[in-house]
Amino acid sequence: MKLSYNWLNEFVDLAGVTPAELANLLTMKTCEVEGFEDFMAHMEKIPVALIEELTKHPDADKLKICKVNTGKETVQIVTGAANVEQGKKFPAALVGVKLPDGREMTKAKLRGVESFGMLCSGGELGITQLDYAPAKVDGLMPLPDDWKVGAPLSEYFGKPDIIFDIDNKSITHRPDLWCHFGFAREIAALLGKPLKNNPEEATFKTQATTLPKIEIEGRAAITYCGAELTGFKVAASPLARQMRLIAVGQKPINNIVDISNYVLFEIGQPNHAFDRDNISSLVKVSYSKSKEKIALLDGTTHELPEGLVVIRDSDKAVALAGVMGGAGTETTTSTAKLFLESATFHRSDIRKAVAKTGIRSDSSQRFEKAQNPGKAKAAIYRFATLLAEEQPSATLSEIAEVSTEDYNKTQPIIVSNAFIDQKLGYIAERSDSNATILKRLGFGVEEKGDTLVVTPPAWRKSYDITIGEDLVEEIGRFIGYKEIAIEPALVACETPRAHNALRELEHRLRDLSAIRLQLNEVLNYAFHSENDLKTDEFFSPAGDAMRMQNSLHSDMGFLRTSPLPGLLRAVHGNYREEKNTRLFEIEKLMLPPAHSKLARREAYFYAGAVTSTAEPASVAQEIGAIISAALEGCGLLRHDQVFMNDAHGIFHPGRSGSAGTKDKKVFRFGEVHPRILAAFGIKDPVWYFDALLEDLLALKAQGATYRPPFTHPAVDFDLTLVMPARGEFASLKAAAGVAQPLVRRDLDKTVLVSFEHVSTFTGGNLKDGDKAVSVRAVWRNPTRTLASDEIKKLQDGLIQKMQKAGFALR
Amino acid sequence: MADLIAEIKALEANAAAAIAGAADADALAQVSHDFTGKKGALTGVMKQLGSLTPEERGEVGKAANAFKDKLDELLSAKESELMQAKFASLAETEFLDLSVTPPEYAAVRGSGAHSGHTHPITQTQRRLEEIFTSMGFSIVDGPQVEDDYHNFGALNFTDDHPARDMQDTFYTATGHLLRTHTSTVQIRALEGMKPPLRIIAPGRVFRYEEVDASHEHTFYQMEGMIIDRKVSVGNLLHLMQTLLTEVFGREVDVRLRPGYFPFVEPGFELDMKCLVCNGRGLRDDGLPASAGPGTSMSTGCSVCKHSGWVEVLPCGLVHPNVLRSAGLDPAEWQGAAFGLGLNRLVMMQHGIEDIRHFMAGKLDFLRQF
Repeated sequence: MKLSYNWLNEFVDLAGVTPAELANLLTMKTCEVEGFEDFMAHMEKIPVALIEELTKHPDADKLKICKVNTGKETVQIVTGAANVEQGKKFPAALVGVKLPDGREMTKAKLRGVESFGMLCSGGELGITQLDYAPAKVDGLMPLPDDWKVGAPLSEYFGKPDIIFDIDNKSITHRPDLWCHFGFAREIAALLGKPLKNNPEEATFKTQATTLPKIEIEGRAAITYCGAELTGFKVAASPLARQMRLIAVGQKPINNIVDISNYVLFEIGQPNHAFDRDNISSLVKVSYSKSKEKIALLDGTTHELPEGLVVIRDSDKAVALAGVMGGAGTETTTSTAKLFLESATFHRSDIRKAVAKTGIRSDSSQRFEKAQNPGKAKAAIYRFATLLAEEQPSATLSEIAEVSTEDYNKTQPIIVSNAFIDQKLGYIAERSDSNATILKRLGFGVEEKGDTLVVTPPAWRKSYDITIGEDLVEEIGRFIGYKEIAIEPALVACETPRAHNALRELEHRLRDLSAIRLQLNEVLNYAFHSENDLKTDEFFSPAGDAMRMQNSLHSDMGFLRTSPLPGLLRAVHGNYREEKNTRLFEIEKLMLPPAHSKLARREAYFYAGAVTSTAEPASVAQEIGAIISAALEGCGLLRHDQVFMNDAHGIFHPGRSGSAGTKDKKVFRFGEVHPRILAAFGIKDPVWYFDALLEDLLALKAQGATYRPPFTHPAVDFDLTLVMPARGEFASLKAAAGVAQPLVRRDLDKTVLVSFEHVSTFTGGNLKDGDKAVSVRAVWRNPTRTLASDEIKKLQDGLIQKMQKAGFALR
Repeated sequence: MADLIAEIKALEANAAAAIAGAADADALAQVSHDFTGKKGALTGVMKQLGSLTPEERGEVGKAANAFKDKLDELLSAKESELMQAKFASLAETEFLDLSVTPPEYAAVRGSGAHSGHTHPITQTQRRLEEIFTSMGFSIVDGPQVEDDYHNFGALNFTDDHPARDMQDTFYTATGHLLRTHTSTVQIRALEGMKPPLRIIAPGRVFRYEEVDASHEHTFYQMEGMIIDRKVSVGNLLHLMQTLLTEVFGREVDVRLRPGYFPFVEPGFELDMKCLVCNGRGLRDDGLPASAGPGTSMSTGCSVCKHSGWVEVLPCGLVHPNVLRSAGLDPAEWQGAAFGLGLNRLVMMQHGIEDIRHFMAGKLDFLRQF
């Protein structure tokens, strides 16, 4: 919202308060001021100038040389304007003056003739928005003959102003601040200055007349005031009033519309002027019927749902109450008699109308914050007063008011000084008591010992100030929060520090990934496209993903069900510059819920994507090593880890695996299928892994796998076995019967504690389609050193097992 | 002329045979080259056009174009066939045995890989978690897909409350929403825990707004709340001061001013001096943002939006209606709460100028932390 410094100054004396000081005062005590800017500063520096002499330019047909009387001196100005005329008056911007478009006037030579400024058009002055014909002339702006030579333009167009920009969000809770007088009242209280005058107390002489009958259905309005206004002509507003409206962002239309807006920006009371001759003898505030049509004055037509508040002329809806007037009953240039409406509606009704129709207006913006019904009449008096200032013949009828509640009733708030002081904390020095501060802010206060019986002022009692805590804020902001001593809160000794195992695991994985595994953490969006959903349906079928009702982009229509698309996009953003792009992410998937009470099953995942210039076989090993380290970091010892080939749709069919315990697959990993990579525009292979954090967390919880340390030497045995090239190491390990996991109860006899891969060969004298796999078997006995015959037996036994399973010794 | 058209027809048969016989993508490329390349068979035929009448040339040209189209069609069909065949045989031709127990990471350490880094947001989040757990706070979490009650209703946003418009919200098709603030966790925590309590809840939040240098639709916050028998503004200030001093390792310039949030009363906004532009706002004329009118505001520090101050901490005393929503008696229990914008704080910490870097995943950015 825009605030005019001059306008505020009409209600509170701002002498000695600079705009910067005012902005700071409001920011620190009331609301957010986003900035302030000069408005029409140049109008004070541009005088009315008389063309005393006009001669042709010797070297240019279109230029003319003017001797210009600026009041103080006569200067020479060269102009190319066709409408310059000797003996007429025009605005003259002299050397040193800065125009709104940023141009600064300097001494210039036009085709050899000196010029000391410029005669201006309305456009150059930045005032074409005015409802003032000379400002719209194509060429120089001609000024009336009776304007004083040398007088600054501001004398006729109004004083230059300073406009403050208030952040609307920061006054959502303050219905009283949606106008100049409201801010002036606040500023007066903060500065301890009196109000110069109070437009909410305005009156005007009235005359009896026959008004339309006013009816309110149910609680469709809190109050409705109506009156007739006659004895005026519709015309352009005085220039100063027009300028003031432009200053706060409103386009001048004609005196009636302008005054209506002026009253709204002055006291925050929306009002509407109907052409009395187009209104019958009954005005009804009632609710819309389903599919009822209404044509509004902005030229749009709307079909209303049932239950919105409308104003009816007899039965026909002529305005969407509190939002916008209707077409056909508005003021026109030939209007001679007005029916003025100034009403107050329930804020929920106005919010409903805005939500259902999508129409927002300065009026609805104020009503939806709940305006004080007590100022409805004042708006009509102010309207008449302002119109009479222009046209003294303006006559106002008596005001008819119909109300559905006693809006003057106020519920007092009872608080104690002790409560207020305790809530704020310790304040070393303060000059005003709580009661004094509240009184300055307009509250009624009755002191009964330590207890305060506080009556909020009419302009703040609805929704704004209703409980004791609201008063704590009033006093706190008035004193200034910086005055409050900083004191630690007392902690009850027994407060337990609950331990968040999941968060600890997250951070442990972050450290492990970044510090040990050389991965970089990325964060990706929680949104998927439809294609993303279909790319990976491992965690959720595409059809079960959550669809968004509103999204910023068509690619963001669903909630994330897989870590893969996000990571692939991150790879895509990097891999061309970074041959080794190594990424990981820990965030949430939004999966179908187990039961309908939950919106989504939100599951944290740990996932990574790696590109590498190394050979595929060594990248596969490295990814395996990363997963092994992660599993170990989550409490699953390397000995107990199980890796297997396992087909997943997202992976290359020959390079797809799972890893976890012998009972539970925790990670899936592999090289991403080239089909998917192509769809993401990636040309190099990408290796990928993921797991849910809940599964990783469960690894720790599976119970201790401790066993006493072995004290007797191990027995190693290396052997090389032949198997088909497509054969799996896991099948060798299974055939060998390695003890996994290695737990205490297994350790009462000799056990094969390890059976690990050493190397793989192909070629040489091997058959095509075969490979040779060297492994190392390790036996241990917890109680004794194995004798050589025992060892021989173990070795022979292992070879036999292998051969029985179809693996020949090489 | 008829001869030439017959020649082109013959080429078509030859090309079809060659394409059918191609074993891989290289062979296909060769076929294309052999027939339509500079020295290809078709070019040879077309060189004889010179002896024909314009009408005849037209006829032959048509035949040549038809041939080219046919060739392209065959080539692309074969290409996708080869691709499918390649995908189908990948399991055999490029098999790597992933059932092999992998070596220790230290033995295969990624060659050519830089050191790894955690994300600057999670780094700061973690530092904050350490600071607050050392002061007796518990870390709690809540859902990102929320219902209206936890995001608005229970936090004293009544249905007709104008403040609902303050936060642009993402809604799901089921009528749920993506939480617009971590304040939802205040209610979630109070539902499951008994006072007195002290909690923090870092996490991701969403606003339905376009992304620019200072706005993101997805960002991170940290909610904090104390519930005890007596909690004052002074107590809250102590938490804020401890937090900022610990995060920045020194005292930072702050200011407290009134701020409006329906779930606190009184409510305020804690600003810190912008560390990206040192509070200057960096307007294009070099004047401080507070210099006032007469200067343009077209460019400048995007982090503090030219003002020299950054809102980092909306906070306040918990509104009695919020306590009531959670079944607590406001006469018995009081609370203080704050919501920290993590992205902004991290931007201040490191002097990051553009909020979009956080979600862009660029290694050149991530490696600096």
